[in-house]
Amino acid sequence: MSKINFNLLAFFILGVTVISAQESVKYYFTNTGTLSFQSVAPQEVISATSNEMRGLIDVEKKTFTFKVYIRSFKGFNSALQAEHFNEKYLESDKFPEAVFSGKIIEDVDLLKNGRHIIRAKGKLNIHGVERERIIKSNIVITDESVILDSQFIVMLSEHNIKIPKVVHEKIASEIAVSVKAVLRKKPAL
Amino acid sequence: MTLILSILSVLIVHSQDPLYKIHEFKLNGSKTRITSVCIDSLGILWCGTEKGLFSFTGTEFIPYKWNDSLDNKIINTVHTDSKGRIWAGMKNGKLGMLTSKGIIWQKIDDNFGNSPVSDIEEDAAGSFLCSTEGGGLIYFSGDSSIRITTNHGLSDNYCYSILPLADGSVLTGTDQGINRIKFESGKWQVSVFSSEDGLPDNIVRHLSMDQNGLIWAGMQDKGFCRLEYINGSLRMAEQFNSWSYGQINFILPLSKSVWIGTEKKGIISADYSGGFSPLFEKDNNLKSMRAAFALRDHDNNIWTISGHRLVRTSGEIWQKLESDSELKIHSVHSILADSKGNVWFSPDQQLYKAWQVKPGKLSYKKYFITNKNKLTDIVSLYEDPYGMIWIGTLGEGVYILDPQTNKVIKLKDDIELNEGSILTINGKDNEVWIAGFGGILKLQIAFEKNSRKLNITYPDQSALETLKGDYIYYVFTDSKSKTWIGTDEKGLVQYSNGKLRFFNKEDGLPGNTIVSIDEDKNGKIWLACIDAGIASYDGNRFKIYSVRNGLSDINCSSILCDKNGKVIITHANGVDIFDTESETFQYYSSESGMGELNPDLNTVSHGHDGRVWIGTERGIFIFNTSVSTWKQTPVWIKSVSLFLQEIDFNSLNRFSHDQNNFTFEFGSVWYNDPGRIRFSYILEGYSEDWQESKDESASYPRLAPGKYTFKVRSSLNNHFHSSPEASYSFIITQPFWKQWWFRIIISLALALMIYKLIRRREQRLKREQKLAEERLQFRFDTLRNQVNPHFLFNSFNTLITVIEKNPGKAINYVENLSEFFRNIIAYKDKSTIPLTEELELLSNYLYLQKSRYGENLSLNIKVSEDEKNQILIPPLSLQMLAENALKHNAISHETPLKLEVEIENDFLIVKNNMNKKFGTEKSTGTGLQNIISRYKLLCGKDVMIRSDEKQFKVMLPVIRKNTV
Repeated sequence: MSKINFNLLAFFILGVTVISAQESVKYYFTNTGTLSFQSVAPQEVISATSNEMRGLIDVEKKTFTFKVYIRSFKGFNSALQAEHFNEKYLESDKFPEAVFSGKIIEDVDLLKNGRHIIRAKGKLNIHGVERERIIKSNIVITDESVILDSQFIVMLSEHNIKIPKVVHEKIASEIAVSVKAVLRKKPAL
Repeated sequence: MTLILSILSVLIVHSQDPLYKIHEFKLNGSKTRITSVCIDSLGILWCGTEKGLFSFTGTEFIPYKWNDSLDNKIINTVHTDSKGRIWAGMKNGKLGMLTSKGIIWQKIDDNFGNSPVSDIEEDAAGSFLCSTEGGGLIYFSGDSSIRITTNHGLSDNYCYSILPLADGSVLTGTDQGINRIKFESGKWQVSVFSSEDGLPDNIVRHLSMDQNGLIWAGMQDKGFCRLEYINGSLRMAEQFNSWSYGQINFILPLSKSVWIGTEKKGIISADYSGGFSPLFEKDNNLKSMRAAFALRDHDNNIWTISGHRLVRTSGEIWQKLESDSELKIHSVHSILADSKGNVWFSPDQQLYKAWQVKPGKLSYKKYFITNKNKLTDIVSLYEDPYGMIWIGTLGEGVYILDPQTNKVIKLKDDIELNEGSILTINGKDNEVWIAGFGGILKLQIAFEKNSRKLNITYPDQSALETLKGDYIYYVFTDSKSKTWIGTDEKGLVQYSNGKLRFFNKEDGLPGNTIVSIDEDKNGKIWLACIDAGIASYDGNRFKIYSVRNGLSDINCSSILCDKNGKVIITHANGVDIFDTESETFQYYSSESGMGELNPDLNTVSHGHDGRVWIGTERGIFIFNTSVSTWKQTPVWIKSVSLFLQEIDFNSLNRFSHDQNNFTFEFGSVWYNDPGRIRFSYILEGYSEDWQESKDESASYPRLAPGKYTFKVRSSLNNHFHSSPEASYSFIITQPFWKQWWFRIIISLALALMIYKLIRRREQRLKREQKLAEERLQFRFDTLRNQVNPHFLFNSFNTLITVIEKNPGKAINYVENLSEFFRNIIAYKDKSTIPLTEELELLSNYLYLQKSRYGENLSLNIKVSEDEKNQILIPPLSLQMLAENALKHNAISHETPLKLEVEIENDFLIVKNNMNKKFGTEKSTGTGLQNIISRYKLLCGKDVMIRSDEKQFKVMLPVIRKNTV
């Protein structure tokens, strides 16, 4: 990862919203992306959604970062379930966020408007465990926005998330994740 | 002649899969992921895992001993270099080279230092390079290293694999296409081949070069493509669009096919024409496995890994036709691989024809011989030169099928064998032989091409009359047009020019029931006997191969010779392959997935492509003889232990005499059947004979000092003469007391001792001689004293006085005088005399002196008569003392001289009162000194002298008679 990228990441994480006008055309940004997951186990279907996913795509360098606070997931079947999710499985006090950042593989010109299926390759960090992932995604680039739509699977075992034997029937080992986001151009000052 | 229509029944597709065996890797009971495997120069498999490195024996995983206490032993990739060394690429970015003493690390410390190693290769110049996940490529050349990254023009730093090329450049597959890297004109030149150049997918996960020099690229999403590499640049050669098996992890080109490992769909086999289909679809574990890595071992087995599973497959050597719900392939009674590449076989009393449609996939057609609902037991199949398929049945005679028209005719009814059971149909050119439970029949055929009519004639059978009604198992016509007939209990029959020649056990056959016959490429006839093994016949004599020669089972059901000098022998529990060149066997049995075959007689057939088809109770196996390799099993010494303590035997080979208890551990591998391995070993210098054993160790307690060489060989079939050998030479030294230097020191010390002894003896002799001289001197002195003129003069004067006063007494005096001299002369040579005699002599002397001094001289002897006789004394000692006393003392009436002799505390004491004379006679002192010397010599004791003003006392040690 180049140095510039690190800077980008830093400013993004710190929530710095100010950026120079001439550079702004290269970035698309959101902090209201939707990330939902679903666990389909024999005895229970669990799903939750966060509408606070933040994301940034550099269409020139073809790099990206997406990030979501674990605590921002809503819509569990019960309050107890949400508590277990945060405290037992994801340990959200210890690992407060999930991050996916990396590069876009496909040889497409993202500076032009268009619709593409791209592969995003990078490091997916959930529960403090980083995995190299290649995730397919539909994107639609317009002058104003980038619309993103992606589905992928997270294996709990790959991220060291341990499920007690007793709730095996209630939690699936493979979690289906769905991402939908509209990233806007960074507003010029 | 009956005409029966055959009916085409079903068309189904079946897979032919390699045989395989799954080994699960568990460390302390928990499944541990294997990431990569490599084969070392001996042929041993090494597994890089997430918990370190392990060698695999075929049954066990043996950990490699790491020299450092590394926390992170996650190995990403392992590699064997051209020198046979093993390299391990770690997840933490380190590259390590294994040695017997531990691992040696190579690492670049820079910003990318922790990028996981993904592949290790050696380029054409012998430099090592590794690709990393995020850190580009690293070149290691000697002690220097350089990292090639996007700064050098690499399209992406995430590199999956390396492919070194003959021109010194290397290719690497990255997230952004293929990069070619070469050091040219002083700098690193990087060129990129990506989707802009027509690459279907930019993520290139693996690159391999096949035997034709084409490069296969395995991609993340779009399958694989083939590339040409010409003059330093890549060009798309072929791409395949219908890939539906997901991410590719590896591409392994083999002789006839290419194996492609996928992330979620197991292994896909592709052929060189581009067709592909999945393997192992019948195994739930393998068909959806994550095939992470694969390689070919020295025996052409293909190993692949999936998670904690290590899978050994027979690769292209052996395949098995898999049954499915439509067609159960079992109980195959006959099989025929025809000249057009079709295979005819009869499972379960039906007839099928099979042909390959794509790699590993066959289509089948079912035939009915008589009518659709009737099952016919088909036990022999033969293709004549015109492509007609002859079908021999059990109990229903012979049918002939024309595969072009699907018409079947039955062979004329009026021949003897026809209603019988046909065990073999065989032939050459226009001659066809039919043999079975009713004897043997020879036919002539002719073919009308236009009408596809086969004309069959029956020549004169009179020469075969003697075999009429016999059981004939097999008939075979060799390249010299001699026909060989295998009979039941009547041995082997050779038919040539209308004459029969019989061979039986007396002629060297292993048995008299011959079930199968074939001819090898050198014209030797090979035959299998029921319960007696196999034999070859070179035209002169039979050579028998039995269990002793390495055959695993003497109950052979068929024998077949291929074009590569191999003889394939089937029996109930597997297949033995005999190599005619090395005269050794290889075995495929349950360990290779081929146990309990229970094949029928002669259910083997040699295809036109060289493959051998074997029909068994368990299905059909295909043996690819051209792919199978033949090598001796390797052997190595694992460890040498001294008193059960392992030693570093690479550097240590000299031991002391008490380091004499040795244990050698050795090993060998043959993954197809590890239990077959036998060892033969010898300790030269200890034993003259080779020991054969299944054990992997040998112990020798209490070895005597000497030179030893331990040698070990391994073999699958006790044929050690041509086996490779491992050896270890060592010396047990002599104990120090047997060393030359010690012997020299000892001899020197001995010589010194002897010298000293001689010296001491010489000194003693000298001293004794001196004493003798002294004694002589004493005697001389005594004599001289006694005969000195003074004594004589005094004695004679006294005599004159006595004669005058008392002539009677004078006689007495002279008598005493003469007695005195006689005694002196008598005793002069004696060393001791009894005290009695000495006292007598003293009395004589004093008698003579008394005449001079009268009562002024007195002698008082206080010694008992007993002691006088017991005690010995040097002669003249007392006389000498008395003489001294007389000499030194003034004797007068006023001063009388009193001599006393007594015994006190083992001393003979002679004392006198002192009354010193003025102007005494000059004393030589030799008398007393001689007495002292003589006593020293005689008894080693000192004579003591006590003298004061009043008394002079000499203490002579008492010498008793029995102590001398």
